[in-house]
Amino acid sequence: MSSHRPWISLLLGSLLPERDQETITGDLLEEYSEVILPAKGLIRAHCWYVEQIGSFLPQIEWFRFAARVVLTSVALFAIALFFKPAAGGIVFLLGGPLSGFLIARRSVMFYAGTIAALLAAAAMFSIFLAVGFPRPPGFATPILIAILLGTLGALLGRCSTDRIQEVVFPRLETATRPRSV
Amino acid sequence: VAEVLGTFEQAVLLALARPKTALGKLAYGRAVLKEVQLRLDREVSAGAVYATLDRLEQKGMVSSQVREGDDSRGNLPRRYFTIEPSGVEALNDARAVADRLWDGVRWPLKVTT
Repeated sequence: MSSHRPWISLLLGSLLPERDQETITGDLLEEYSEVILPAKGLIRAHCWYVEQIGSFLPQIEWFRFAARVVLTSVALFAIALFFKPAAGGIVFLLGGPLSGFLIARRSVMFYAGTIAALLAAAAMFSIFLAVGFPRPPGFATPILIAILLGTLGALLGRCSTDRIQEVVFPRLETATRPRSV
Repeated sequence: VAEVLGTFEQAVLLALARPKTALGKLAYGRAVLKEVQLRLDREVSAGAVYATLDRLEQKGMVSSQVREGDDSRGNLPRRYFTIEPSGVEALNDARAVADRLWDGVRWPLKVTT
């Protein structure tokens, strides 16, 4: 039976460690094309695939780390906003790039750091809106700055990994790459 | 003291040691997942099974080998798992611990009020 590879399998492949990318994607593809797609149809089969990807996320070490970093940034922002709104602004501008840097460095993936930085900035901005502070003209500018800084942080995090491994600790290469799911 | 396996780890190792189905005998990731679901009689997430296999492999209880896949999976390779002697030993230890715990206890337990 020939298999049609769903586009979403590319997402799973990009999350998994290199060692398991093809084997696990292949196992899910086999189940998808032999059992799930004929039984459930295209849309529900895609939902099944998303569910499977979701089951892998908590098992991925860098993803758990990313969740902790983003939640910590958001919590710090909420606390700072509560006590001193100006401090909240500083945390907002620093939280995104720092999250991006740390996560790109841990995952060795630029896009993971960027997405985490954007999520952190979006979550903090949502809190800002929910609290109901007065919105001065041009209040959206910090979002653009946070996006730019977050991307820059992720880029630095990704580059620092390569640089440190190549120059200072070449043996860290295997240790910093996410091996297990 | 040897490490006692959790229930899920036991299910994964037993799926490799004594598969109940023809698919299970193939012992690649998807087959192990199906066997574990059969043994535990519930839906099990793929992520949990692969993470357990990975952990058991790191402990040396399981080994794996990658072989070519076929057209049903877009020619992507399969990773076949084999239980190692230390895995069998760990299963025996787990069973012995459970037997010792239940020794002299009439099963099923009755609720006393």
